[in-house]
Amino acid sequence: MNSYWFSFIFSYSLIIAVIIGTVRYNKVDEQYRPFVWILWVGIINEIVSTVLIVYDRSNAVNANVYVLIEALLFVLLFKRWHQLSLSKAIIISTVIISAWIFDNILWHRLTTINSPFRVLASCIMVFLAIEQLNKLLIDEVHGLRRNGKFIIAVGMIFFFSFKSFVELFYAIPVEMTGGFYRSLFAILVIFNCITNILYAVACLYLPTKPAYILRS
Amino acid sequence: MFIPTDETRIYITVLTGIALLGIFMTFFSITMFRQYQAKRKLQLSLMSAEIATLEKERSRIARDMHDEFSPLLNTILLQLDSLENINEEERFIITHSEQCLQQLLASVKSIILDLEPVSLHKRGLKHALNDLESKINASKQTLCEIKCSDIPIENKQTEIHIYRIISEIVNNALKHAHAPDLKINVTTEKNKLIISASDNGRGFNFQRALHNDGLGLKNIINRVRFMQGAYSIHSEPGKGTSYKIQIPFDAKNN
Repeated sequence: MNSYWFSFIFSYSLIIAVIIGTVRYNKVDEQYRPFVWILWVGIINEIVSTVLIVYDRSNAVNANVYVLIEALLFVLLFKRWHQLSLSKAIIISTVIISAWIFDNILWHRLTTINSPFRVLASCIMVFLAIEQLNKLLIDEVHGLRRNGKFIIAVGMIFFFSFKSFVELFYAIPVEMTGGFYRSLFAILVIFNCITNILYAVACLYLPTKPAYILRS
Repeated sequence: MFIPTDETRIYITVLTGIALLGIFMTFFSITMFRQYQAKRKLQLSLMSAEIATLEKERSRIARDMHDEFSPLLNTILLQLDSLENINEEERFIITHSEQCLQQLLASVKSIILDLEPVSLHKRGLKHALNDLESKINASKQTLCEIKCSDIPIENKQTEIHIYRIISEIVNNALKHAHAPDLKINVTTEKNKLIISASDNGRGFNFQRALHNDGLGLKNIINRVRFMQGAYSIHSEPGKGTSYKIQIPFDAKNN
């Protein structure tokens, strides 16, 4: 099995989470729906990237757009979890959009894979996830293993902290060997796969809508 | 102009990565601490609300008992006293009834004083504790000695909390420890109010009492924590019990 197939199979591990999330979508509490949207956007990006690679095209454009959408959806998710106020969510979203425009339009081009924004976005994701994790560790000591928020936060910290480290090697032109970058990418793919499995487990534990909702 | 070599760039990248991880860990610690502080503040305010409600209820019950029971019992006593043309047997029954009613009246007054110690509100902590000492010694169950120095506490709530803590200690010594002797000392040291108490009663297993329905013990601990104090309780079966409680005390603000 060559490295392409290895990367293909591990990346498509997201499909498990997507299927679970889609099946449970109507039952899931509205607070958690942005997470399912993130999974959908993720799998669409994977499919588009696969098609482009098969036709020998670059997947840079869709990858760059995907990281922006993913970051904004995560901010929306944390806003719905009441971790961020509306003003804070707007400020963070503005920072993300501005950084994306600067990195992909002004500094570099949209048709190249640009790492500086990815480093920033990953750091923001890690900070948001750490805050949520700490809130859960202090407030809800019991039953964390079956808490969707906890599993999502752990998955985010796990993946995005490593991603921010890896993207530094692309952002700062260290000009390592091709083998080094391939190994780095392979480790990232494994981290991605483990995170996708965690997301799938999280989808199983997403709380359902309350039975009765008072009309406001 | 400084042009970094490949090796330098690698070092910079790795150091930046390590710095990033360090930032994440620092952020983790800071937010954990902040969340813990927020939770503690919430717990303290919940405790405060609970204690305030408890004291309000006690006041209300004491007032209702004073307003409803005492006049009624006194009226019954007067009416019994005013009966005339009664024979010996009836006189005996009436006297016995009067004695029971007197006992009931005394019990009601005692309960009212326990619920809301009037001398605490009117004359301060030292006098309230002296009254408590007299009451315990009058019952002849325990030889109680309470020494309280002149402590200028302006905050009535603080006085109530300290009085309640000492009442619980006395209650534990009487009802659970069956202690022949009980000594309580209330002093100040630097900026702390120190309550030290010891009895030579039966003693108890502290951890077990805390996990069981030891409401009196939990009441003491909750009040001490609410006042951001520290406590040390030592007890062993057959070896009596000693308490040492320190409460931060500022004569201006307390």
